[in-house]
Amino acid sequence: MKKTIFIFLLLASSGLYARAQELKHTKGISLNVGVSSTLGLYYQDHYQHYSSSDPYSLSGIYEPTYEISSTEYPVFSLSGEYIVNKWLGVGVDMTYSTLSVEKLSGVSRMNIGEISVKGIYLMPSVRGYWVNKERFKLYSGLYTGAMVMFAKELENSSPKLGFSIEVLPIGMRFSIAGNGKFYGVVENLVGSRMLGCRIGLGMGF
Amino acid sequence: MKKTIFLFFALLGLSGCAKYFSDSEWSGTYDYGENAGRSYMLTVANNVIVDNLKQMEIALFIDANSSGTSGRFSSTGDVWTAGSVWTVIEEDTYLSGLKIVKEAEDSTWTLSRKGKYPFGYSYRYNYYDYYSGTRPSNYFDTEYKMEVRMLPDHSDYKPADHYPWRVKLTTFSRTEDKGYSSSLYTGANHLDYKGGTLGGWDQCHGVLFMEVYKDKKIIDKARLQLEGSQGSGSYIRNL
Repeated sequence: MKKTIFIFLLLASSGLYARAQELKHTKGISLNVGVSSTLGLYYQDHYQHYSSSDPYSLSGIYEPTYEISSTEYPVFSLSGEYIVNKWLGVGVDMTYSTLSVEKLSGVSRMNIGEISVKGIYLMPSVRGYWVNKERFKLYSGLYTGAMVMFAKELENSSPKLGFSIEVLPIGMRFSIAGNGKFYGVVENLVGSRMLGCRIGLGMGF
Repeated sequence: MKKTIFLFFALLGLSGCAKYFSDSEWSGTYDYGENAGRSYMLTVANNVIVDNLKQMEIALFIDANSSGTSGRFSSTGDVWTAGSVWTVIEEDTYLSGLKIVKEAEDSTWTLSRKGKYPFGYSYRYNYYDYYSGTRPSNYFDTEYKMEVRMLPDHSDYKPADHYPWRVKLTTFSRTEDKGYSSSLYTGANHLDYKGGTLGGWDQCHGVLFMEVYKDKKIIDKARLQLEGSQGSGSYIRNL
């Protein structure tokens, strides 16, 4: 796997001398929305264990517990990218995701409130292009960065900082108007932010 | 081919039945609060009422069958003598410090203890040593006092360590974490027990009341009625 990535990066970087000026709209900014956020997994790792369920203690019986309301919640990203050459591009994503957690009565297990858990990610990326045409681009990539999670209403709710990594097995950017000036994005992402797809609209310049 | 189709439909039918039965088994509303509260009160019945009576039984047994107190108790005299005090000194028991006081020339003793007490663990007793299992961790400050009266034994089988008892829990307070505390009592009622050194809460017969506090404000009240067998008895919350 390491060898493959190394060869891929070598091939991509070998094109650094190619003149990026040959490509149009090398800078782009897009707004994306995705599904299947993995924020819930972070939440369970960092906060869930504060809910006790010891049947031999009063806090285990009477303290509220918390359960994630839904497994599907959106992931919003603002993405910037720069196409270095025909083979290589770099970028950065600012991502926001939120999930709703039900606060349940310890005794009745009835809903007694909602808690909002928020995650913010800052993830630089590198991507290699399989196809890099003016009106259509096909690429793969890798994101690494940091995330911070907040759950203010929870006990021990200090923000949690974490490392974030994500693979982009395949993504495409296609022109909507202006020969690539305005474009659409469909990407498949697997990692710390999400395990699914996202779509977006962007503008190149 | 026909056989395959038949098998397919047979399996489909079976899986449907299995789903029906598994669903029907879990139908209805699970009242977590009722079950958790009941479990807590049964723990008190087990760990406080029954375990302390077992110490009483052991004290009587040692008093009747051996000289001294076997290193388990310190004493000021015969356990039947008015004014005598037997104190559990065995460090391995969670009841170290329990005082058994003979108040008068009758069949009544007072059992009292103040200190850390773990809940939710069953102890296996025998006369001369304790079961050495994993030491529990949920020690919370607990103070209680109960009056125990030995009842006449009308049964045909009378082993030495199976006296019938009547218990009045006059004081019980437990201060736990996160601001919770509980108070339990038998009030004008009582609990009877005749399970000896091997029994549990399921051999209790009678009534227990509980009040639960959070930050010293009452948040719940409950009543547990035990009828001397597992699965029997009623538990009522939000009195």
